[in-house]
Amino acid sequence: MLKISRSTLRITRDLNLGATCVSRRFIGSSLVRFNQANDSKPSTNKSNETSSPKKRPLSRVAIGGTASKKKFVSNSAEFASWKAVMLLLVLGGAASYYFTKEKERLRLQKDVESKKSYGRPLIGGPFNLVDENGKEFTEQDLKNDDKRFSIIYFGFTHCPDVCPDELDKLGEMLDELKSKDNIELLPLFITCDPARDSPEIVKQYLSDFHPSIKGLTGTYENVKKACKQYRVYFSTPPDVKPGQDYLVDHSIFFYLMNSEGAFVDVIGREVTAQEGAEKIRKHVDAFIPESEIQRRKESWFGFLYK
Amino acid sequence: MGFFSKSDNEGNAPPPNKAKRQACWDSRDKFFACLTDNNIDNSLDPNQLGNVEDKCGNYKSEFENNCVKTWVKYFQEKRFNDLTRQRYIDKLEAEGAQQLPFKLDNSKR
Repeated sequence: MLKISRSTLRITRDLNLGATCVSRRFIGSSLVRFNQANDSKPSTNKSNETSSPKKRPLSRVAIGGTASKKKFVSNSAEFASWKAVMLLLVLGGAASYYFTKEKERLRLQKDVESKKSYGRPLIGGPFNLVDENGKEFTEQDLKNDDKRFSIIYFGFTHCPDVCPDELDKLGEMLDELKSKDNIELLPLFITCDPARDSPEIVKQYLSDFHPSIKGLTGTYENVKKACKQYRVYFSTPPDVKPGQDYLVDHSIFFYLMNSEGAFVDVIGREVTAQEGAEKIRKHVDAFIPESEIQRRKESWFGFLYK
Repeated sequence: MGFFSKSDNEGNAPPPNKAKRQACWDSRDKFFACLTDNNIDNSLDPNQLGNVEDKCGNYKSEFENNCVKTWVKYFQEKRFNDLTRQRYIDKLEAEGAQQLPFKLDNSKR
């Protein structure tokens, strides 16, 4: 204990003496330094020297002056050691935690970005259809500010087995996302058979499935155009007489669109309801609005996002 | 109205609802089970038609009553295609073919 306090005192004393001492501190022994200190400040020790013998053991030599001064000096020395170390640990820890988190987030967002750049131009685009209540519905209705994604399915009401199965699967996904993660989607059923599927027929058909599914139809041209935007292939038999029953051949995919109306991913028939819901959940979690991406690229951290 | 009235009705009729779909699928499954029991692969094959009527006539007429015409044809074609496909896959696997690293449908295999 004594040794520690003496060495700290010596350091503070050296600091008080200023620059002349600093250079000598590294070469001289402690005794030399002690003498030096005494030589340079003889006036402060004068009263002490007259009342006590000239040579005393080093341990009993008063170096720092009065007791109150000693206390102050030792306090500032302690701050320099343990408080500084604590401060360094806390700040350093916090900083490294923040940067690790931020790095991981950036990695995920970059991943989504890179997917967008090849997916976006290919699928989706303007369309003009009517919903099951006869109201106009366009690609603008996919856009919203509350991160509500849409999931689009193309089919037809006379579909024998695939469409009902897939629409049931869609219902399961919607229920799972709602109950587990409180994620709500805008599910859309777009018919590929506008000749037979009027809004009334579509409405009646969808009443068998999840109540939130909206049905879209329109004129043959408009439906054809919408299907083309989504790269959906469909074909009605060429020689259908009016009123004759027929089946429509069409591609079967769910298209996941984000709340800006841009394409995100497809969910195929091979995916189960649980896998599909998981896929959607990940995409909804990783979603960042376009304006936010733009803002980040322009900010002074922009180089991080490139 | 005369000759076309039946097909007229069928085409303009609203699509089968859930209950009707289920009824159709159930009678289809019974009919197909009968076909499998009697080793009939292609129930649309003209050479097999007599055999089908003989062994599974009742199931077939029930199937045809419960499903619209296009579905009757579609399901039988599909059954034959699926059977052919499955046999081919089994044959390839028996010869030691490797599985694809991804799934093509959501069957349990």
